[in-house]
Amino acid sequence: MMRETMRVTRARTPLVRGPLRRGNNNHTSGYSDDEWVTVSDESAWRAFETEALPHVDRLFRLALWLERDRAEAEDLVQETLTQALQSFHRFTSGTNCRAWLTTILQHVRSNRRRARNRAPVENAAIEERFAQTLAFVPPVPDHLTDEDVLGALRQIPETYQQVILLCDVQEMTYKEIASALNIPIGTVMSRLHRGRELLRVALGGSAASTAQTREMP
Amino acid sequence: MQCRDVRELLDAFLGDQLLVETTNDVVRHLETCPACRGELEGRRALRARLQSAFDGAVELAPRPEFLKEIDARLRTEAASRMTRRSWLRSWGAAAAALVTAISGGLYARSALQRSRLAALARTAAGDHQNCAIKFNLAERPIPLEEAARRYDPAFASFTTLTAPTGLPNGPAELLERHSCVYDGRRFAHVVFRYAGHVVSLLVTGGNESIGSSPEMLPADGPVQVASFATGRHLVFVVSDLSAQDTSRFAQAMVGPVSQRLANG
Repeated sequence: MMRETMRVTRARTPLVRGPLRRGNNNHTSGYSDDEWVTVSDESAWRAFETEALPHVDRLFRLALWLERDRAEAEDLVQETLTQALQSFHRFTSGTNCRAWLTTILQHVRSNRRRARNRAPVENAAIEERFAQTLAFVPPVPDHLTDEDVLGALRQIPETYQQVILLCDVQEMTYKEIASALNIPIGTVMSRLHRGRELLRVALGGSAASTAQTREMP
Repeated sequence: MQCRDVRELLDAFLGDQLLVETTNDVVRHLETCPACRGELEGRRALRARLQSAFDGAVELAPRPEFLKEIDARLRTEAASRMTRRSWLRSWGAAAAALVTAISGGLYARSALQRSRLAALARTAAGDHQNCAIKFNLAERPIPLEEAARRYDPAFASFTTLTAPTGLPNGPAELLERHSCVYDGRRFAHVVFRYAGHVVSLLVTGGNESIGSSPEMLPADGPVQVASFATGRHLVFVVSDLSAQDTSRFAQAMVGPVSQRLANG
């Protein structure tokens, strides 16, 4: 039902012409002929500085959350921004630059993990394990602290953390998330659904334990 | 709409991802259902809390020194790109003159052809890296149809080329087709994904001495290059797959490519 009734209302011109998001043959999507021909490197740098650099803080937070290692996160962000600078002529001004940068970050991270022969982020076994809807999803607790929320998020599998962060924190559309993670949009929706259920179960535990601590003399 | 249906859609509703008609249905239900309104408020509060917790977490903040370093590095990178481009323009003219001089007869013909082939393999590898992987070409790719009209009619035959079948590591997927230029060389470029890797098929005009069966050629960097000739064209298959898998992929492309070029 969800698949039939949803659409991406914030759909934009495709942001990145990348190998991991190419589903059609419209290779000129996202290009601006005028930019290719007339924009000088100096003005391109100024545009990059204005459009991309304000997102470095949140980009770094996402990288650090995913990598759990500050040095790794710094390397990842640096490589992401270097690639973004090199490809900035392909960014369509006025579209969601944070989503564009996040997509590059996810691709860079995926390539780095593959190069190191580390397991991919997506894990079929986890998908299977959490494929069923939970029997009972508790309501969102009334009183939550930042620690409760981040602690609960950490408790759920990374596959689900990732889509929740991209959707709720990075404010990316389902379509943008699908492109960034190279997964079908239906998978994005099902992961968000399961992830939010799991988050609420985890939050129930966190909130209960916080309340218990508060009540202790 | 029942409560169960609405609750399934509430997160998409909050994210403004529903059709207008579905949004209206949800709104109508919320107007009459305090329980679902409460659920909506809970989810809205959770999203807001998640965002503020993430943005406010001191332990996730970047080091101020890192922010300064990254700013400086990017400025240096931008400046060096400006210098590099102007240098490349003058170097390109010098390189073209050198190639002309070499082709004047400094080396034996066969040695020269092998050397050209090796250079073309490096160019193809560079195109793969800069077009298919880093999206960093100096000149915008154009559709194959346009390239066929302007440069090489044979390029039109690749507009219908599909992914090869019968490969050992599962099916390949066609990602993109276009014509691009790298290092002064124009290619018909067809991009595939196979076994999680990006694979480029690059076709360019040339009569260098190479057989019609794929042959692995040396290339700089982490990629493998397999090449074969068909008529007046050279075909390169470039990927970061193993040499064996790259060769197999190239082998699978020999028939479809040769057939198209022969018919074209």
